[in-house]
Amino acid sequence: MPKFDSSMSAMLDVFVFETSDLLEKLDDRLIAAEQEGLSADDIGEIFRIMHTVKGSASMMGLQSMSKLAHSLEDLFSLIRDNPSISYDKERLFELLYDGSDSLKGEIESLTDESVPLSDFSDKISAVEAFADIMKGKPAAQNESGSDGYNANDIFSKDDDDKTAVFKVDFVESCLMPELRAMTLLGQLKNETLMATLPKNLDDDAAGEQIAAYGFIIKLKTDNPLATLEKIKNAIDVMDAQEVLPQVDNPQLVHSNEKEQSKETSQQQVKQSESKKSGESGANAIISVKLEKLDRLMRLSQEIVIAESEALHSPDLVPYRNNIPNFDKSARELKKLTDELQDMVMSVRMVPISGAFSKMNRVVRDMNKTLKKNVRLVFEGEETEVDKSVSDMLGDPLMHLVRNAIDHGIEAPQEREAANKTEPPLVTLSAYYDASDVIVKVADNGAGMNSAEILEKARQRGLLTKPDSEYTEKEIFDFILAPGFTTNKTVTEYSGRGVGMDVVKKNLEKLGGSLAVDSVFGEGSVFTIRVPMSLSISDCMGLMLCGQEYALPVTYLTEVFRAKKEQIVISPDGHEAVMPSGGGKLLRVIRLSEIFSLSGAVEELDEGIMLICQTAKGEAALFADDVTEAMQIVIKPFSPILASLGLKGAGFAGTSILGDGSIVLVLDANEILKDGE
Amino acid sequence: MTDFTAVTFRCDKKLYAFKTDVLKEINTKSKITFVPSLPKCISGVINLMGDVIPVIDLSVRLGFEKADYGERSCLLIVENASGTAAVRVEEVLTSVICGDENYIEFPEDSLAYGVIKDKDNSITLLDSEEILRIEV
Repeated sequence: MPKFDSSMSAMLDVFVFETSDLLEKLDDRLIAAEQEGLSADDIGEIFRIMHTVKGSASMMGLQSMSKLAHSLEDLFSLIRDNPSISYDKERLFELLYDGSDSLKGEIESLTDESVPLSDFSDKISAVEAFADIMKGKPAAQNESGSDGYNANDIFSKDDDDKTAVFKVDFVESCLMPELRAMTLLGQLKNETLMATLPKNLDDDAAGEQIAAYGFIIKLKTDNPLATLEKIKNAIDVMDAQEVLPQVDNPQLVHSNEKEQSKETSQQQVKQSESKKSGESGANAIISVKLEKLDRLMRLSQEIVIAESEALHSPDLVPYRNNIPNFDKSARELKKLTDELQDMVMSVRMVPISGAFSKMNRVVRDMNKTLKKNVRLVFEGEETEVDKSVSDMLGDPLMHLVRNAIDHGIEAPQEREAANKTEPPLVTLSAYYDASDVIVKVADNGAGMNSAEILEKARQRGLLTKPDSEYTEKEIFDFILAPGFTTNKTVTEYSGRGVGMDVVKKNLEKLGGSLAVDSVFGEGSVFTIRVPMSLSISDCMGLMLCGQEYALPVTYLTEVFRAKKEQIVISPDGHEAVMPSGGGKLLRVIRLSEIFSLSGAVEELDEGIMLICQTAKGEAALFADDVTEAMQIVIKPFSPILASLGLKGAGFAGTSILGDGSIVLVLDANEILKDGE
Repeated sequence: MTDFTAVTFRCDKKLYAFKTDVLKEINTKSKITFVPSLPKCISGVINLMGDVIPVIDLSVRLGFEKADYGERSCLLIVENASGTAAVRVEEVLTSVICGDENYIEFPEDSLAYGVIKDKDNSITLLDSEEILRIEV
């Protein structure tokens, strides 16, 4: 069963995106406010965020989330209405962080049906209890300040026989009936709506009024029965009935007018309010689905291909020298398409500050528990990277920052003992290097003792040569090995030695790398290098049976044409080759055999050896020839192709070259597995 | 039954049809790129506006010999729930409107929905979902 109203599933993406965005903003606010104190502005903003989250969660039918947001909203309305109210500040922030984390967790698992919806009642009662203490009295709510009404109030003199009035009751568990009422009106837009009670569904009291007196709709309809049926079938409607006019109320018109004027003034206030809040958040940015951008990017590539086909059409050849106007337009078109392509590429770029600022929260939480009072500093956070790169960097950065605070930065006493007067710092910096982005996580902590690491490595049997031959860099690289840790105790955050090797592996999967450097006593630097855009990979083109294929260079270590004396064939027919460095024999995998192709180069000394090193070991792939290095965008297989087992056969995906032709991209990992 | 329109085509001398609602376009000039280790009925892949989609050889898919695809051969781009694929046929003919008077449904599930009678011809209406579902 889906977790939310099935009628709302189309809204899911937007809901997830907007709510995560709001909670992200909330975290930023909280971190700033925790240090500098809550300003009136903060309180208003937090209130607004909770209000919006409450509303949209309720719209999705996520009651528990909505109630939690509601309780926090209530809490902040208390603070907003009475800024001098006294409360336990630490506890307040604790509740807020906890609430924000719970909501975030819920959103993350929303599309995963195996995770049940959480019940936040504990958290809600904690928040409510806190609010009660603030109010200085045991819970005594329900100030019924809302005005009552009756279905009769809505009739007027000029109603004709097509006018029908319905009274709708929503189910009691429905948390925000005014939203359901709006949805209902949306579904009835074919009928001419004349009036509703309560009049203004945006009004704060509307929800309570509907819950207490029902929702009254007056509209013009040709078929009241059908309309009634429609109403009854709407979400969360318990019952609905048509109301017939009773005795005329002479005061009606008068009172209506009065309310009307009250309401317009209210509406005006509301409008100016919303205008104001709109301005404060005003930055002309819209969010677009990544899918659409990908499509746009492909289309712009197609346009370039189609353009070159048209401009170089063979039909033009006879006129080639006598079409100056055509040539002029062609040049103009070329200029425009070039610009279009640049623009599309740049649209996907986002500043890395988004990934950086998420670390604020990590540092804040760790400071709370470890009492190290670490400051987080950003440098070059305006550096732009592809959106997908920015997203992928989140996890590695979090690991490294945690690591820096937990292992790197010393406890305050230790810093004092070491005569370190400067505040403990973790610095995140980013800059470009060719087509790569370098991200550094540096700390001014204890640094790493290379002798100690070497000793640990010896104990774990990782050493392969005499101690004296290890360079500093090689020694520090040991800490990236699986299960390696120098920390003596395991803490909440790290110390189990899992992590660094995972971070390294994940970065390598993206075509990036991780390097470590450290000065004992002064601090450590972890350097991440990732391509600016994940979509472009460096590949080597190779020929096989008259067709070109691409092999990502990630695993490629050497390419050469073997000489006869480098080739060894065992008596039972296994083929091996000795790379130019010598010292070892690698098995030869004939690509033509793997793919069952005929017509490939037979003699091992006539084709090309491509040495690949993967987690599965090292081997030489044998192809007919190599063509050239290429930078291509690797696309995963479309659903039908993916179902045909191409991945298992040794293909990573396809790529479309500049001229529109397709090359298949090989997956060395899979091929080496197969060849075993 | 509500009327529907079907596009008819020839493959290995026999007549077939697809419902128009699954047909995205008819393509004549795409270059087919061979892909190793695919089932026999897939001739390769083409670039359709930046998407790489498989080309199904209809004749082989239906269990006949590989047809002789000449000048008039076309790729029917079929799009349905399972994805998008090109179906290679010998020649596209015309479209027919099918209703109770000229269409009979097959009694059981198969590669085809039923038979369309058009003048003297009997045309097999293929189930695109089934045609695109290829067992490895």
